[in-house]
Amino acid sequence: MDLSCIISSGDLELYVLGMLSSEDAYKIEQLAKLFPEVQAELYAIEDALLNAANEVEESPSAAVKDQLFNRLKSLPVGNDATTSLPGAIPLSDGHTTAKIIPMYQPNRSNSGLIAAAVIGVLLAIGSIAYTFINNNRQRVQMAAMQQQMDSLQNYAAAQQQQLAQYASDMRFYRDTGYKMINLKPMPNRPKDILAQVFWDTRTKAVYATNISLPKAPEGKQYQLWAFVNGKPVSAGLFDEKTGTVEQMKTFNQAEAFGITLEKAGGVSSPTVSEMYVLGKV
Amino acid sequence: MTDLLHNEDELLRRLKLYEEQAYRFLYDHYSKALFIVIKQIIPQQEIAEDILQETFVKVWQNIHTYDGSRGRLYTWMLSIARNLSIDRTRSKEFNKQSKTGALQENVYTSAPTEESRVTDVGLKKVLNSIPEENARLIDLAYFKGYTQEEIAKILVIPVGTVKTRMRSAIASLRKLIKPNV
Repeated sequence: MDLSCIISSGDLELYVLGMLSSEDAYKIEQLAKLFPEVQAELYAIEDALLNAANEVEESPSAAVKDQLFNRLKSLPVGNDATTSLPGAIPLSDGHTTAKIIPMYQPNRSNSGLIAAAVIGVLLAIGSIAYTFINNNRQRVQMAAMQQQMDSLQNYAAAQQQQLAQYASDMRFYRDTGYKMINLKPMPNRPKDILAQVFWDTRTKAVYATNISLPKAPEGKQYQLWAFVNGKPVSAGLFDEKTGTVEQMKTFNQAEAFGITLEKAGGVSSPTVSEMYVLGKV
Repeated sequence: MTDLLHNEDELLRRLKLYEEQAYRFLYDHYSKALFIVIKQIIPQQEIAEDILQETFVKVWQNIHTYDGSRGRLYTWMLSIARNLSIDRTRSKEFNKQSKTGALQENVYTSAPTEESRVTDVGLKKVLNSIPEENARLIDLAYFKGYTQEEIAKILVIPVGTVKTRMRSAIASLRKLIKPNV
């Protein structure tokens, strides 16, 4: 995924400064979780802001820190009585606890109201819990989708490449300028093996493709031979990969083409007993 | 505590466990930046220090409600510090105290005027080291806490432009970064 547009958009700066809507901020948060580059950029922005502040010759006095930590030690941990919104309730004087005055005294006559309030609160908690669970699920889903998208993209690219290959190979069958020679199995070979040679009658270039030759064993390679005036001449090593057409050596004349299985790297004259397929021009 | 630097998840985990070391890191790392923002609203040193303390108390008390969807931990602390400062300017006690003091107008309620000029000497020095246009944007958004819309109004530019200009403004700050500050 190309992240440069996100990084250069200015949204990350606004996020760190707290200037984004919560919806947009949530998106940035998710991106930062998925992509370390985004996370790194956020830290760099934060560092720039902190650094700018550090340049200012103004500081809280050293006593503030000691006072603060003495105070924190006396505080209960996980104080849930305070509001969840930052700064929504002013701590009028942090050293004294505000007296809590109930809005009204509950009595029998408004028990219905209380029940409704309780139901309301339960519903709210339920919906918050649901949103929370949903958010987590969405996070996981988003990561999975990203992965899926990447693999689909790779698959599409591979398919496209193969399609282009096919389109290019089709000319051998369509263009009558190519003479197609079917190389058929020798009597001692399986009946279903086949390779094809295309000989360009204009340029004399020779191409070959494997249709159904068996996979060459380790350390062995197929080699194509042209029979010129009764003598075999190497046309080159032959990739056994099916579905592709390979260009071999060029021959001005030949009576037949054949393929033998030879040691890897090829040989100068064919091992006749290892002849697999042969086809007359 | 360097293992907490650029590792917000770990920092947050430890803050939620109320580990003193984590809070000390938080204080060492962020207190000065928060203090300067507070001082933009409350110029009196003692009151600003008090609000700084309140900010960290609030962080301690509300750390479990912080979830990152409102911005980074730093962003969240900035908004706590700003809100506490503004609340203080509204309190009767404060208004009595600062009658003779040089209190700036509340940034959220005042109309965007010449008010937004940089008055702080120390801040001026920093902002002088980057292009003027960028300095103004940094001052308004970071030190004064204006919204995108407010900044657009003050600078008479489209809201969308605030975003792109903010990026280049912070880029100029980034150039100032010295290694190992």
